Amino acid sequence: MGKTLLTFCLCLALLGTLCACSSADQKSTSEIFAMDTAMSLTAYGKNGEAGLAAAGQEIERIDALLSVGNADSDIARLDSGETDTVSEETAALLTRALAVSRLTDGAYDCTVYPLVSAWGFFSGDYRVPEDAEIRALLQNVGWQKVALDGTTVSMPDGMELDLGGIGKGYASAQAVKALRDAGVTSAIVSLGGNVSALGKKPDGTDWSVAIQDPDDTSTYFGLLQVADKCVITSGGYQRYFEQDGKTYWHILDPSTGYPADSGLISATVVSTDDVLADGLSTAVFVMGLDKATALWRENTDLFDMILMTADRGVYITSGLSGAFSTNESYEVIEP
Amino acid sequence: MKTRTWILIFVGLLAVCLAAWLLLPGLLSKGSAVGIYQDGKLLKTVDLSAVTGTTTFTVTGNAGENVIEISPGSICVRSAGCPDQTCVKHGPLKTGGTPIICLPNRLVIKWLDDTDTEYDAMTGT
Repeated sequence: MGKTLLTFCLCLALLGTLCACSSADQKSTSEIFAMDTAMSLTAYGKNGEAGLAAAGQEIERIDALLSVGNADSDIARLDSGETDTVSEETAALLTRALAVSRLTDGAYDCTVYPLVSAWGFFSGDYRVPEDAEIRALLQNVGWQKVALDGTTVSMPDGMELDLGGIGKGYASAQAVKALRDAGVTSAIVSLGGNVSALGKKPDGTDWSVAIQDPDDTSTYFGLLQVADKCVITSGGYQRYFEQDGKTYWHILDPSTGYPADSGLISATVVSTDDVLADGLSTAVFVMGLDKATALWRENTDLFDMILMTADRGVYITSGLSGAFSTNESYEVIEP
Repeated sequence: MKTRTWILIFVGLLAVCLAAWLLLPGLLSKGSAVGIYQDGKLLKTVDLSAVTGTTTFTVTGNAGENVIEISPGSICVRSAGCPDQTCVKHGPLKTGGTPIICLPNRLVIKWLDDTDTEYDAMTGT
């Protein structure tokens, strides 16, 4: 009878272990449409549902705060001239936007809105503006002309701000923070392709993030293993239009006013700082391989990157060696 | 006593096998099950491996209708009322591939069980 009891106890213990495992592995997901994109959030563990709800609320709050399309947002009120004072949160984010603009020598520029608007990328009424129109609009572009004093913003008439270039990065950082505050230790969020990972997978291994193939968006060209990092990609292959056989994509070179033509078709930035990575991915796409390499060599502690050129040349920075796998041949950029 | 222990273990194992036999078909077919979501809500699930003929399922949203074509082993958006046609251009849902998304109508078509995929998330624009 002793043995029977022992067997019974063992079975109970085994069952208990199984239950414990399933609780840590319990997967919760949510799909959100915000910031003009589709977002997918996944959290593990018993706090997953609560964490996802908090993250969703945070994303919607930030969307309302930053949207240029929402007339009540800080940014829309500033751009319309209704006010020159923004909330402390918006001011802090603008400070960061100006810092990224400075770091990238204007390849990311938070004042490019009038140009993007002229090309129809906000309204969807795509058009190729005349040269003269672009030249005139370029006069109203330039982050150096924006001054921020506390929460008071001053900039010349005709200029407009848009924090959309770092907004999704801010949203993913805040969503991950909301998940962490809710007690979640393992989660991954994808805000329209901006991926941010909290901790590791429930089994203790790194998350596997696929880098979308710019030539076939239903698949990917590489896999990157990460933990507690964000992976953000800029490319011309999803928001674009064609006219007279020519493709025009939505990432504009702030110095020319035309779609960036740097020879890159995909630029991925990996960092622990989502806001920086969001701005940098745009900047790197505008800069091209050589300038981006120079920028990275001066800031190897801030970020890493994966680049693909139009002839499908793949380049990764040395910080990602061992974490990146691909079937393509690739070159490692050393510091 | 010893025999009784063995019988108990045997019965226990039998119960586990029975449970597995009952549950596994459901688990196995999950790999080919697709969910159609709108605004984050699951509208319909389809097991593509159990589909015999071609049918359509229409979803209506702010930008008009998405006509979803369901055929044996395959699902795609046949036509859409929106101007960008991203969901139509996406083509059929591929194993391990990206979900079909229609932003204007807040529609997502994706695999219900994505544990087979090699990655946890995809980065792109």
